[in-house]
Amino acid sequence: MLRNWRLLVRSFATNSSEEIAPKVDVSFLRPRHRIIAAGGMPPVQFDSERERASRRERFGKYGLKSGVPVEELFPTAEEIEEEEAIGLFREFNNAKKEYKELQKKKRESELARIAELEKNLKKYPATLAKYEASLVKQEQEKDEKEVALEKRIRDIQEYFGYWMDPKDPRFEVMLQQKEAEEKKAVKMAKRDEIQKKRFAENVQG
Amino acid sequence: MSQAARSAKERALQIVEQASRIRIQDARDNIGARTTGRQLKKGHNQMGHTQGALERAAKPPLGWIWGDFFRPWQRMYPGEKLFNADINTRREYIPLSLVELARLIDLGWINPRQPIDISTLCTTQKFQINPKMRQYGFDLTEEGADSFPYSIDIEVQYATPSAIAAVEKAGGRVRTAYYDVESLEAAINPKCWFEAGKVVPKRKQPPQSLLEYYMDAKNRGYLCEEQEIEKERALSAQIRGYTLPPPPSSAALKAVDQVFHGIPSGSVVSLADRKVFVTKNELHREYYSSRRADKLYS
Repeated sequence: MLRNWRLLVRSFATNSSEEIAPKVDVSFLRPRHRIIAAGGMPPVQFDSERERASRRERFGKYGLKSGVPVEELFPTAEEIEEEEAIGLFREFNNAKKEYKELQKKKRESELARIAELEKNLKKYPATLAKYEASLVKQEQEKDEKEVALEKRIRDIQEYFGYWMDPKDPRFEVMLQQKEAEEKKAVKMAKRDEIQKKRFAENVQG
Repeated sequence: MSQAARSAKERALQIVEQASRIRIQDARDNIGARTTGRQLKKGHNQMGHTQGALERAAKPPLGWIWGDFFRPWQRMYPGEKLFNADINTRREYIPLSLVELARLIDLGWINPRQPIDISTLCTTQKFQINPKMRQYGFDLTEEGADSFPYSIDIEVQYATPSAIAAVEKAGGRVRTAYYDVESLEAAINPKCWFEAGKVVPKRKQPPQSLLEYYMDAKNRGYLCEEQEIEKERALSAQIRGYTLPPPPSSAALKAVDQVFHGIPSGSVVSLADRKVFVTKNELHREYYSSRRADKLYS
């Protein structure tokens, strides 16, 4: 600093005598940063600069001039083997094969379904006629119990005046009521018969 | 003096004389410019810290049912369980509409005569892609599809059929391609990648879940055959009722594992020397030529 002051003093004092005053750098930049500011490549000074990532970055910035060998930038055999051992990625051919197999299986199942559909469509009229015949046959073969049950259900629906689902709770209540009424009617009929019998006996006596 | 004979200055002066003074009330926000949020005061900062404070708070938090600290409304009625269930793992694409694309071309940010890909779009600094947040590229949307004027060669990560049809109607070409995370980082900021001295990565193949999308010619996936894509191109024109313009001068498409146009994967780029270095080592050749499928988030 003192030397710089002397230069400054000299440049001011001897301005009239000397033709050219020497240039004074007062920025106090370190030589490394002065080189960087001038656009040059700084020398390797620190330990961090000797690491691999820093050397790569040096090559990236300054190119071949940096002195970093190009083969150092590529991954080493150990790194490649490690990556393959970890198994982060899988072969694309295998993935493609699996995908194609999946697609083929899907397509085959679709084709099988369509074939079955067409076959069933051919048999549809015969099956429909058979089904309708079975319906008619089933209607004829209905036994008395089913007939009575259907009649009872129909009576209940007529009582309500509109169609009602047999599973409706009101339907259940009405069904029980109808059964009770029928039971009572049977009882009354029996009693009437007994009374009629007694009346006949009275007439004879 | 008659009305027509007066000068413009006198009429303007009369208007100014009759106008009212500008007051502070005249400086108002536009309607709807501000929203009224919850007004929190210092005394309300304690709400929710203790049960007693919750019980006595003037404005308890949403869902609070009085007296029951451990059973808020949100826990009693949680809503749809699977809604946003995959929010931690699903991919995100930045929407890029055709209107925005045409605007960028109009303003000179993008050169329509060169291929457009992630590097081109991110270099404009208009879009920010963060691969660490599972943002995987661009989604080309169909907004502005009716009047897209440019014949472009664009590569996106997702595209709707209408957007594809609009670009092809204008004489352009669309390809959808998958970028894995490393390739995406390289493509987003190529200068940064080259100056770091890193090897240009090999673009991995899509994972299992995305394989179907990129192998479908309807989506113009980059894993399809060119004949299938041409067939789908003609079919799309026929369905949507437009005549295909003559096919564009076929600039070379990228290879399946290529990140940058003109730069092979597995090479090192030196910007200072303006050179591209390709390895001659057999191990590296084999490593960078094998096609690997990405496993991430499949």
